Amino acid sequence: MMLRAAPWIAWMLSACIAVLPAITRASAFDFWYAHGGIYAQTIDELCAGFNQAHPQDHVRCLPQGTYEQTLRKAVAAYRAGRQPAVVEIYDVGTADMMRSGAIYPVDALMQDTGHASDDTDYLDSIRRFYAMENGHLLSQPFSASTLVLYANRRKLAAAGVTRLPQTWEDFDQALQALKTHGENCPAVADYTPWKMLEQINAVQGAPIASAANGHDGLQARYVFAHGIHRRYMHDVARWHAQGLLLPAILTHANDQTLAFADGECAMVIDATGAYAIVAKAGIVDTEIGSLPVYADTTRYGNTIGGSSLWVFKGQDPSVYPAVARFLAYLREPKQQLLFATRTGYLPLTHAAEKALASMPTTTAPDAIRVGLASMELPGNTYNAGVRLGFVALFRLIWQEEVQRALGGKESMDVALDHVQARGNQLLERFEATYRAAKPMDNAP
Amino acid sequence: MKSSARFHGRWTPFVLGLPQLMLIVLFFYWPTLKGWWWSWHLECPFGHCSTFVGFGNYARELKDGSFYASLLTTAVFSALSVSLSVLVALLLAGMVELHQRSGKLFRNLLIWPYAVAGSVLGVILKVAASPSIGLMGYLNTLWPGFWQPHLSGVQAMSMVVFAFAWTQIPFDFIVLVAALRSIPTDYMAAAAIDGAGPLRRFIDIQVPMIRPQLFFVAMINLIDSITNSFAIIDTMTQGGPGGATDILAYKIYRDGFIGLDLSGSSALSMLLMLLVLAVSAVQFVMFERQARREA
Repeated sequence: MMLRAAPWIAWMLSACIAVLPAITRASAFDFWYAHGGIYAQTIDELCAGFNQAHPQDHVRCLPQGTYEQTLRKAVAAYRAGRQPAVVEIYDVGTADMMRSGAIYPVDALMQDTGHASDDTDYLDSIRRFYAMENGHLLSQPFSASTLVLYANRRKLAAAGVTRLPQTWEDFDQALQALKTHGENCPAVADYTPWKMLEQINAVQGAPIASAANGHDGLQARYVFAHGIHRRYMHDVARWHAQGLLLPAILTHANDQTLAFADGECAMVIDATGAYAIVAKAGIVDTEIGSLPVYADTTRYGNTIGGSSLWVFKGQDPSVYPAVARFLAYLREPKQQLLFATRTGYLPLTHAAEKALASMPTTTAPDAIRVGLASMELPGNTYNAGVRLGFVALFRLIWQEEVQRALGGKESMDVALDHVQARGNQLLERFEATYRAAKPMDNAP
Repeated sequence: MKSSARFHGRWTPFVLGLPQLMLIVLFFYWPTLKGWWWSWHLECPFGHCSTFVGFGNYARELKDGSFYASLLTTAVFSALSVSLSVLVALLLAGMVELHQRSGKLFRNLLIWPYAVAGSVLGVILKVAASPSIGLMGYLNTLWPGFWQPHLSGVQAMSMVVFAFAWTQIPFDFIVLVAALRSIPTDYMAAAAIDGAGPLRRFIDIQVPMIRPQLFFVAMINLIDSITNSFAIIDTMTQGGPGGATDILAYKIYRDGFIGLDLSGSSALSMLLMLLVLAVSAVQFVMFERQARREA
């Protein structure tokens, strides 16, 4: 019995050994990214470009599913000692990644490998979103997006709305006009907190949490429930009740971006990164404007959402110079613009922004132009996103309570108080979890 | 040829069982131990820090209103889906028994759905139950605003109960058909001669005679509904709307896998395991009693 199995075992062993050299080739490394569709195609193209330009290096670019799945897999892989060299982690994972003790800070990596890394070249709002208290960037911003208003020019004109809404008051009137004109879906939304809380509060410069939205440390607690967010959510609830702001599930497309792109809904507040889908569908004559604000308030610069690239410790030392070359390659204006013009994600550096401005308007997506302009307005302490723990869970709690409010189970005020209280329990626990952690060791 | 059904030697049976044992250790005992360990600590996702907090995680979960809400949701979901699946399976089995010739055909047809994975069924039914494009969405063209599973917890719950019962019915059906066929035909014939119609025979003879099997499928369904309903919830409602279908198994997934709250979700897993152990213990005791009564 054993004898008969022996050749098989020998064959499998030799097969494993045959594959080994390819895996351990010094300058080959893995990059895990979190996109699909046209976004993934573009990333693959960037990877192929790098491999061609740097024959001594080899990056394997592997899609890992959604942002949540990629973070989860990164955690599991790191615990198993099989982490990739570079991983794309979404914005809300920043608070965990920076304290993980698992990373090789990007600015240190660039310095160690002799690359010039001028962080001031990043657009101000992007740098502030990711910077540590001392101004260092531990990760390299990658896909950045901000909210803009997409409108169906023809439908708005037919309803007599000649100007894109600049304020929520205008937006409200436009919704009413569209409804009166017989429009079934004046606007569509997926009712997610990134769009309805984080971005809205940023552009109004209103706090979400104390300690500069968590940028100043673990002691931050949520404080949004009685501010501008309550006012906005009351409007949202009214629009929902009057059938002016349809939940995406009530549309044929079952997705807010698609419901706008296929011409079903007249307006949508969506990320600049959604531009790729709207443009590719090519059905709607789209006009893009900046995110509305309340008429009697100051408009601050928009903040971003999206992801940054983190470098894991624990690779063969000879790999890191190649990783640094890859990151430097992705930061070249040319590659940024390739990604931006295809997808609607924003250019990240001033150099890339300048290069974009000199491109003919037909190739530079409107969404990017509008998004960049809205990010350049002056900021305050609270328009640089949040840096808080358990944000993924917090977002689910927000959705749960808001669904209850929209379903008539509780009032919007009570719902928001619950979100804040439950969110603060998460922050307390996050603080307790990391307070005891030993100081980070950031050597590779 | 020897007819002895015993393996020789001490090690042969062990070696033959080893692959399965290894799988259980790898995919059950090891994760359980790890979860047990984490449930007493505040654990950083990347594993570089871990603080012992004693009962802290349990105390927090037991004080948290959303734990009890989830427990109640689990109870409602389990009770409804178990009743529905057992009742429908019993009804189908009873009817199949009535007509021997077509019974053979239906016995085969009704088992097929067992081969469909929960997540696949979830996706299919989610489309069917969509308020805009699904079959149920048609109701909204008759009575606007009638079918709103994205807002109404009751409708969302009925949707997942229906879906989960669907996955359980084929198994229950197989067991109950076999049980019905094991009833001596004399009893049925005697009852028929005494003038009892099909319904009376069903209620007075068949159902009481297959009570142990009914209890068995109900118990299996119950444990399945607590531990194995994840795919249906994940594909259809993700615990929504407003937590109306947030059963414990799903809450554990959400907290641990989406939220990276390893400590809290480990404590919840341990509590869920206690619950399943309790249900299994009840089942065990009841079967023992049944066996003793029969002996």
